[in-house]
Amino acid sequence: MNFKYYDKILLGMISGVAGGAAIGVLTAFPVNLTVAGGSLISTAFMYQGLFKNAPVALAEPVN
Amino acid sequence: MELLLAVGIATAVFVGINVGGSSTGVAFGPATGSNILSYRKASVLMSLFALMGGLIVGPNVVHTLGEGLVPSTSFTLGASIAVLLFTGIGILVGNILKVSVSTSETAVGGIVGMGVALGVLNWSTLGLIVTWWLVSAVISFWISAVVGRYLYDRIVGVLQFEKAERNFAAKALVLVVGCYMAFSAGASNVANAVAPLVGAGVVEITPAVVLGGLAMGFGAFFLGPRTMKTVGNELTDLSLEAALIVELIAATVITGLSWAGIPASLAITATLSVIGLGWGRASRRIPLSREMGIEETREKDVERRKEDDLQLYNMEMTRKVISAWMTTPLIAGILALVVFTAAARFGLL
Repeated sequence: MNFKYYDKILLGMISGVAGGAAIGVLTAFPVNLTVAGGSLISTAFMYQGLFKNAPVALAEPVN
Repeated sequence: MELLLAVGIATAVFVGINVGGSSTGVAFGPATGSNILSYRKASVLMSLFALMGGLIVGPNVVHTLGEGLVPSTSFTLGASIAVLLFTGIGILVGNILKVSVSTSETAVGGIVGMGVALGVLNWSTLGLIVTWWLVSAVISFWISAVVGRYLYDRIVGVLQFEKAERNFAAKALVLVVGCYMAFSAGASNVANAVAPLVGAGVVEITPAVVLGGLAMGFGAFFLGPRTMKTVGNELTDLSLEAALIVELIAATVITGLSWAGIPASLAITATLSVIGLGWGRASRRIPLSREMGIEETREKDVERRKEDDLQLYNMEMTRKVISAWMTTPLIAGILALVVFTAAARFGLL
């Protein structure tokens, strides 16, 4: 499958929270902690997509 | 004692007015931003439905803020007034700067400041609240972004709002959802104004939420138009369909969390939904060559970018609101921390 950049960003974003929740439910780790950790990962992906590599037009010179 | 009670109620009303002003922007910003509703009518609806939300679901959040973060014994009348003042000031600064402040964050900030100063803070409750803020932020952004990127065009096609005969249905739908949003605002935010008083035991819960709801309504008229303008117009270009999607997502997240007693942030949830939808749509529009990482720019791609004036995603505005969400609770919290520490040291408590 041909995953474009922003598809990966979105995938990473939800994996953080969902993964954290899953780990909390399936293991002995407290859910609050694992979800908190997972949401930090999600936030990192959000930062990437919102600021580092945002879908905005670049001011590029036209030849 | 009577005077102090009057001051307490006045302070709660002060906070309620500011909370109302803030929340109106969030609840009806999209609707007024896509020109379905005048500011005045939005204020009327806001007052009505916020009051309902405050009455029906509000008490759950009041319990968390009034006794879940700090023991209710810490809420002496004097302490309640102080916390409310700091909360109100934090929100007022945000309203003056015309950004959508998170009233819930600010209220929690004030209470946390007090809790830390007095050494009575329930850290696990705070941890729970902060976790949910992050999770609700991610979830509301993500759902909206997914809708914006993959489903938006299909939804527009199904709704067919551009057809004349659909016009009334379209507007009615956005209005109904806006009221749902106002309801969730009341549910989530009325506690910010009245929880300390309830914690102090000077007002019963039902009269408290009525008082808070009415104050919010007043704020909706007084301060609402300012914040409605910010959310609706400046963050992204909002169509009818977009307003609908955004409000549905945000209102559902908020009502759910409020029902669970979590003082979730309406401002953060709704604003991130707006940003997320615009971002998702914008992510479809950058040139293919850039997505694939190819350096060269084809002339027709540059042409497309120049024509694309929609401004679906406004990075500067996004940066500005996120900064505001990080600073206003700090203002309230630090103020409270300093004052309460001093008060404890000088034996005023």
